[in-house]
Amino acid sequence: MKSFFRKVRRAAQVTGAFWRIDFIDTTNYPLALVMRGLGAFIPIFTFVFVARLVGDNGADVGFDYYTFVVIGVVTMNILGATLNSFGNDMLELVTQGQLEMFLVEPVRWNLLPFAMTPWPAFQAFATSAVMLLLSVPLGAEYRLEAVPMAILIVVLGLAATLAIGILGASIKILSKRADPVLSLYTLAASILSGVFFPVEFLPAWLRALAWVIPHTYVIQALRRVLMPRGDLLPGPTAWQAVAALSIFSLIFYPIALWVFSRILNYGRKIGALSGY
Amino acid sequence: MSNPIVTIDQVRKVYEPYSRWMKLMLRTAVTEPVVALDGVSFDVYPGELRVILGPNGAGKSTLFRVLTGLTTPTSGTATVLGLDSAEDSTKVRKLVGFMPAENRTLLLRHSCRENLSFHGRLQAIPESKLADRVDETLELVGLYESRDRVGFALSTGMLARLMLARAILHTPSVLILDEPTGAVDPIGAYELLRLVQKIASENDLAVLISSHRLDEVEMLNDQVLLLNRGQTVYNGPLEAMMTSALRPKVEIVFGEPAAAGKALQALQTLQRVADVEDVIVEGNTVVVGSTLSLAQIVTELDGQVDNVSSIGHTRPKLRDVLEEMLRPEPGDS
Repeated sequence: MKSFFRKVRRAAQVTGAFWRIDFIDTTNYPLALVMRGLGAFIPIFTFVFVARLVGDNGADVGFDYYTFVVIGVVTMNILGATLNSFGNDMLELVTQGQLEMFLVEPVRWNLLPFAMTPWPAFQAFATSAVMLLLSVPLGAEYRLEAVPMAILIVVLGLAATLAIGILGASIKILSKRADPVLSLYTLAASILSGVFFPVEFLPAWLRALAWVIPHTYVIQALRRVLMPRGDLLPGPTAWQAVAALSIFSLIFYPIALWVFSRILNYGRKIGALSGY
Repeated sequence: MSNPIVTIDQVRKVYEPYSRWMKLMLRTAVTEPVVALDGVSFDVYPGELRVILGPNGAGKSTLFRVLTGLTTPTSGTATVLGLDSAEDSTKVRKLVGFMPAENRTLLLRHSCRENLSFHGRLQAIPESKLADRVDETLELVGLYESRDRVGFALSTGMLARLMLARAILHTPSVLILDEPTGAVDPIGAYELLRLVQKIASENDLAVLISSHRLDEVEMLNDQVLLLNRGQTVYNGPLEAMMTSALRPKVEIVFGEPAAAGKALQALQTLQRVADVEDVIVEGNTVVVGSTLSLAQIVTELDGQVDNVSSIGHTRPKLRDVLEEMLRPEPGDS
């Protein structure tokens, strides 16, 4: 038990170290921060017009296409943080010549994905909250009492997608640039998870595939809990999504960490950890 | 004698060409196996400073990468205080302070304090002690006054000191310095190495340092490991290497150049009957390379030269010694 708490304290210390450094890095570039915030507004604004075109009268979209699509887009934004940030950070460290300096520190390498992700995840979370807030005066409606459940679903979604992010980062460490895992997953997620349209619109064989992607559970469950008429939507209930995302994490984390560890060790052996 | 802190035992590292599937991801210039280290063995004791010398590609960086756990040896073992750098990599990294050659490994947009605090946290220094330890270390390397300046505002010499501070922050047992004075000016480099010597002796650290600056190697005047193509050419004290590779030369200084010219003639005559070579005249000084002792040379020249101001052995230049030791054997490719 003592050893467990020591490990937790150590993980918190390393995470805190990366959080502070990332915070300073982010605030060092204020214009980039502002531009990113402004960029988040664009889809929220654009979909006002798309929603007018589509119309709000389908039960498939909870009679409110604008809220329906905003939740999809915002979820993609949040989950993108844990999906891509670790791989991008690793690549940046390699190109800046800093990866080896991090790897010679007495930190277990398997801790790095968890320590390096909270800041980008927090940023994406904050940006997404602003996106949701901005969408309200533009016509979106949310059930405020569902926010705690929505946060739980998002956190589990972040955890599940981080497992895929670790797999992608592992390949990036060796390939230096290409990242087939994340490229394919992002492509699949944007089509299959129903960001812009109900999953039920997909052909049956693609619909089956959609339910092996964590994005689908997060988006569908968030719509069901946050939209005023979300109960009308098909798909998993909030607790079914919680269970599915937890199971996904339980299966994929051991696999992702095993692959990450194997690839780092392989990189050590062949001398491919530095250079790009 | 105390136990060694670092033990390198028959370490061999071969970089193989990438496998076919690896080549799909990344091309490499390596088409044949490259032997980066070939059966290298040595120990480093507490307080000892071992300079790793060798031309580019000799295996110095690979040796450091093996010790820091960044690569694994193909065979042999590298241990720090008995812990295997391949098997107990995380524990070994806690015992090692590493100063890489490039200062871009620092967080240049962050202050000296932030740089050290960040690494202090990764090095598991408790939060309650971190601030004091950071300030103490900055004081030790002479950067306390600049503690809040960001990396970009520091000179190259100051950045080198900051990297040294980062390497010693967690009070390691081994300090690995990869060309620490790279772009530092000569005076700054001298001060940095003096600081390293002081830290090593006060804390009984085992220090491994690579350098291409021969004046620095002579200044450090400690143990030397000379590598070439991954193999050990020499391992031992610098002084012994200097005398073993090249015989010391005799230097005769005359009162005037004419006397030196006369001595040259006498030595050229002597060359026909005795082992005398490399007779060099520079102004009023004659330098003679010979197996003859100083007394024998004096006897041989007795009566043939005059106006001698001084006579004695000259120390061979390290550059000449290295050139001699690294000269390929006949038949080497």
